[in-house]
Amino acid sequence: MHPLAPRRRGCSLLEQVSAMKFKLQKQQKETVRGYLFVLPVVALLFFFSFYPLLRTVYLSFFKVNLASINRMSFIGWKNYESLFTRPTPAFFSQILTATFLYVFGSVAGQIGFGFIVAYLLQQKFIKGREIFRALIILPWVVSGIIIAISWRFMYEPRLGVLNYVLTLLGAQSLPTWLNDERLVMACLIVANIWHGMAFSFIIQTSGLHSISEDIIEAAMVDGASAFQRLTLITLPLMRPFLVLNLILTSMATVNSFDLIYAMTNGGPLFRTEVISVHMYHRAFDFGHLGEGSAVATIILLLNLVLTIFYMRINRGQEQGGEL
Amino acid sequence: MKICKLLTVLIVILIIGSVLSAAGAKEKQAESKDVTLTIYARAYTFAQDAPWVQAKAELQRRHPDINFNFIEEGFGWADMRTKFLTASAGGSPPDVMMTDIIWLGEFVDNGLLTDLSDRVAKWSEWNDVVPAYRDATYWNGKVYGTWINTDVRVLVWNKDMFRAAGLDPNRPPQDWDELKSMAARLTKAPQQYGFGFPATLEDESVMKFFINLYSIGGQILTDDNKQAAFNSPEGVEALEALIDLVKAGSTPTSIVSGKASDIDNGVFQGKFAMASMTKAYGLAKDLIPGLTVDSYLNRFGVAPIPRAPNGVPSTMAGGYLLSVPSGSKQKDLAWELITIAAGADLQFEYTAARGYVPTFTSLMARGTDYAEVDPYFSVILDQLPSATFRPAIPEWTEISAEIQNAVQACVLGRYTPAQALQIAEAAVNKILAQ
Repeated sequence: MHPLAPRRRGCSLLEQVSAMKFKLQKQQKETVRGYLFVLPVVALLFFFSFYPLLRTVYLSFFKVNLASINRMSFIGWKNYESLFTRPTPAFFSQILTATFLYVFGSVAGQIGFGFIVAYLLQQKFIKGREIFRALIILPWVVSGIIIAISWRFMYEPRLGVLNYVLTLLGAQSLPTWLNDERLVMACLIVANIWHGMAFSFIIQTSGLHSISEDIIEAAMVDGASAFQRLTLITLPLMRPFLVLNLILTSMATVNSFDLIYAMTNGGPLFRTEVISVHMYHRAFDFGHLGEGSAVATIILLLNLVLTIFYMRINRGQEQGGEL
Repeated sequence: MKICKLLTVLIVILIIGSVLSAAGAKEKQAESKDVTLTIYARAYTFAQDAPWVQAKAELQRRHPDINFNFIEEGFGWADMRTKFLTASAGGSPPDVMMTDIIWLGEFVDNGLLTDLSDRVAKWSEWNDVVPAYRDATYWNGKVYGTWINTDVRVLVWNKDMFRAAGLDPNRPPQDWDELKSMAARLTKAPQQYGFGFPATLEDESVMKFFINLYSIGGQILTDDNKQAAFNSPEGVEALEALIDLVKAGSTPTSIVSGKASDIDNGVFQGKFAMASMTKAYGLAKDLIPGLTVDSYLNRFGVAPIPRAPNGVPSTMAGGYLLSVPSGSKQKDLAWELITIAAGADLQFEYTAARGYVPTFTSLMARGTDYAEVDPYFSVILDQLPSATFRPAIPEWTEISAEIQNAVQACVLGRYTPAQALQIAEAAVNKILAQ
């Protein structure tokens, strides 16, 4: 008789206990097996993500130089103090400001343009949309360094294509783009939007595909204009995708390094020294690993804030039944 | 149950297999004489046979019983330092490191280089090194490398641009005033500018300021290297001489972006009529295919850098040592490779090909041989008495960064030279006090 088969009336207590024990043992084995399967991934995550992260936070409280990494001395919060009190580059008025401008401009541009292009390519009158989609995704798959070098050439005041076009249009005074403190951040943002827009485009396209045609048709039957359909139906239904896009793009942009480093190296005069570039300078150019770790810890906190923000919004959506 | 058992068996097999293959690899290594030597050097040193191709061949010839595997990694200037520091921190430094002389203090004080004093004493060519250069390899009384080359900055000008502007192509400016007036005549913005100097965030960006500073009698740090000395009337005048070129439009503000090497290249590409640089001949050959000695003479000129009015000739010197990192596991073979690569024979070929300055007395006497390869070699050699080295102290990278910021701020008009140098002085003194 199978141990789990229903007991006939009159089954002894011992038999019932044996059946329960067997059931428990089987569950335990299932649990252990499950843990064994996830163990390799957890181990990888621990050694390549959590441990380096914890080690970085740990190093941020030490005076440690890249050239003498085995000589560490505990200094408490001094690395953070140096970071916040250094006159140039000033952490709040220069580094955080540059970071905020870069992130805000890039995210708004990538999501905005990503949505506009995705929406346009959804329209039935557009032919050859697969070709357009491939062209839009192309910048995303190219290395950031290549993008940076290409855009540097385009922004070059003497030989760059932008100033060449402006000359053809009859411009008298040509901008110096990356050399102009007023323009350099905008130049970086444009390059970053061009590079990263495809990711937003892909997410928004998925979101647009998820909206049922019936809803749109029903709205049209009710006499809703194109603008009303966009603002009152499409955008609200797209909200989960937009929020996801916002958070992922923000986090990626906060951590962005290669494009800025290759284009301006944080200059001129720290105008584009965002927090990730500042971390590199402190840790590797000047060898102050402790200070660089302090900057990295602050980047981690920025990302945590964004993550918590996303989780709260997501929870709000779930409770509101929007998912 | 069955899956658990299978997983367990698989894991055990993997572990046993790994242990066996590791043991096998060790045994194989013990039996064969395979030696790997890793070289970190500037990328352009690999562009011709000397020194590395020939040095490697000679080392292999001397040790036929060893199977050498050379790993060559070429870098830009700043990247080479960063890579060396991170590799050393990670426990895998190279066996040969091309050490810029200004990094010597930093590397030695942090225990990254091997003391080669005993080895150089036994080296037959050590006494042939020019005494002043021999002395420069010492740090705290010990030797940590030998020269592969030294260099000095010279003025290089584009004779075609001079001819087009109606200037005598064989008469460069002699002082700052002539430089300013000639640069103005040579400027046709935005296509070409009379004079270029870098104002990027790189060490080379402060060289022109230092050259001016020493020409007018100033200095970078005090003699004991404990305080900044560049914020002086001489310093302000030296920096103003540069900024005046920007204000006059003879130098574009675009010098704050890109790379310092863009300025050097610009002379050979017709963007800048004049600039100061090292290794002019090597650069010219890299940029102009098929360049001959005659066409180099005809199209470009090399001269001492214009000095301050009533000032003294001045230039900045630099150069590289070949060192053995303290973490190298092949110190003896690495040193032997260095003695070949940095020996007089290969140094001649290398320095002549690139337009660098040799460091051996015997090579200094071969001016005629050099002139056959680089027609302006004698001009370069003549700058040595007026050359100054930057202080090779551990804090140099940060100090240079503060002065780079000052130069950049002046070029962009954010500060006057006096203001910028005052800010830089405070920052440098704080760094030195730590």
